[in-house]
Amino acid sequence: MSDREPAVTSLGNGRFVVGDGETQRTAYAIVAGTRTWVFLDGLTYVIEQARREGRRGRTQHDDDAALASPMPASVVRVNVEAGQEVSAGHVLILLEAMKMELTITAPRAGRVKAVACRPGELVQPGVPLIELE
Amino acid sequence: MFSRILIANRGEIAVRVIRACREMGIASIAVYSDADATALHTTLADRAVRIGPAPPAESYLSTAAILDAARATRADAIHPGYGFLSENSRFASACTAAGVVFIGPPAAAIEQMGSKIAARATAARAGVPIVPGETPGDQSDSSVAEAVRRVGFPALLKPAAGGGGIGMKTIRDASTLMPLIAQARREATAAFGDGTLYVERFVEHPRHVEFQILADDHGNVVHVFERECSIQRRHQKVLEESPSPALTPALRQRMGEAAVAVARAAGYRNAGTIEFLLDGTGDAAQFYFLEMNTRLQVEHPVTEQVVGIDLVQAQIRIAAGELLPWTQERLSQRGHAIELRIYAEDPARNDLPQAGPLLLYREPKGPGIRIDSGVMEGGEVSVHYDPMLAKLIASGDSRDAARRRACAALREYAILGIRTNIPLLLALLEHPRVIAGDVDTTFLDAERARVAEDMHRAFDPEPPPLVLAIAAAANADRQAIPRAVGNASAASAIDPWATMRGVRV
Repeated sequence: MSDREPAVTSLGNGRFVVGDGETQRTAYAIVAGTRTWVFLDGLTYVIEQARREGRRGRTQHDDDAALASPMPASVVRVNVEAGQEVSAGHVLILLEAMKMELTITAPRAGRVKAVACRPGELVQPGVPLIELE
Repeated sequence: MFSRILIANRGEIAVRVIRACREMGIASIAVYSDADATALHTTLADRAVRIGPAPPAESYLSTAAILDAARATRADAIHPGYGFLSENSRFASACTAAGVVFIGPPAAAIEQMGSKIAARATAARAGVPIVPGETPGDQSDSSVAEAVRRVGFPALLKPAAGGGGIGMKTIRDASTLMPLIAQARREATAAFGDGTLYVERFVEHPRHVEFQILADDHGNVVHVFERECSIQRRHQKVLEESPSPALTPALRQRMGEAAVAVARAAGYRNAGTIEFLLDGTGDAAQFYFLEMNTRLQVEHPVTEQVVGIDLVQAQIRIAAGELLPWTQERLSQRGHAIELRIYAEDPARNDLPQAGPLLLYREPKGPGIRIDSGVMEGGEVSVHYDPMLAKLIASGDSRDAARRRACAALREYAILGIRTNIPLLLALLEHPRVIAGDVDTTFLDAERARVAEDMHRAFDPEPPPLVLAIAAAANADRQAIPRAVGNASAASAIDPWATMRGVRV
């Protein structure tokens, strides 16, 4: 496409045409909660709405992400209990999803404050399964 | 011929069998779990029966629930698809005992060829070469470890009851031996309910070439040529094609004859696949019998496209006692077909399986494009089942024509709401070794870094301005909809009666 400003026209039902007066392409997009999904030329983009800032410290946030399942999964085994000291890389929880084993490992050394799941339980993504002190 | 066929499966293969039944004038009966109450296969069949909750063990793997459904609907045959109960000889026997025809091989043949030991013995008896390996009679960890040392490093551990690459582990040296045995056993038990392990010598750079065979009840056996399935990721096939770029006519004939000989030695009937490891290319290449799959394969469409036959309809005809519709002399390959498996997984995050809603799902169309899918827009990809959404099969008069067609179609395949492997497939189809057909089973795992680099822009944290503009338009669009609905003048503007003046109703 040329350097001219592209125009995006909604055709309805998630379909868009992007053109600059010379060439054009079809794109698809849909909004779901805080995420907008865009498909263009075989590539998929997910645009996250800016996260509210200052709600909590960065370390806490990083811990929570590392200690949550990346997808819906069932808990096979919990290897630690509250009060236990762990080192970075220690396998804390074994999960199973879609015939695959997933492990939750300690992102850093520390003491386990609480375990928020038990074997057999179905867990959702984004929910921390272990709290580290 | 049968009046009613029950399909003991879900997803794209259930849809595929329902369509074959419809074309043949046979009523189709779907079974579904609670997770699939509104799934495509459930709604497409002539009749649908709930068989249990979402976990496969309580629904799609429950012989009792499926046979109850067959009795309740007076089905006279069951098509098992692939996966689930398709290679379970006890299920095949139970069908026969219940007076329902199992559309597949006899239970004895499933048992014989499902056991890797018996299958290899059968191949050896038929005069077909095999790779060294064994299933230790004593299945203790230490005895399995001894067996690994006997076949030598590198060795391969496989679930004896398995398939599809699940639970398979490559052992390169003694240091990883014990943990990998434990892990393979856990995965085998979880996936197949049987932790028995098979140990095999690992051939370093083999091609995976398999031959489709068909056998009727009247002693006729034919092969329907080969499929090349060397492009695999962690032993799971990603791209399959026919013909194989590695076979010469003479080698093809030798391998085809070997496949037919194995099928005859097994007393096989219905559709099956003989897998070979191919070492080298051209007339001098060496091939080894690997295993037999006693069911329809995921990748059966590439054979259908190049040979011009319908394998599912052939399975049904054979099961009904009919003669094979063709002789070997009448079968030939024409053109080229490539299949790509569309998986719900994130190629930017180590192919992590994805579950979630299909917010938008638009399949590409066009000459030479076939999509076998089991999903639809608005559906949900469940955590309970295999992450394969669909298969795209591109056909053309040459390998390169089929490859280009696949690329163009993938660029139009819009799937939003979950990540898919389409960016990886696009990068793969443009890889010089894929373009040249120079691949072996180690190719994708070895070249993963390069392929990932090629598709990196798909995961650029900063989307290009054009994409942000489209996103903004989508957000503006969404905000515009409630206003239009709530606004009387906007509603009257789209009142169909207001615009239908002069139209007779």
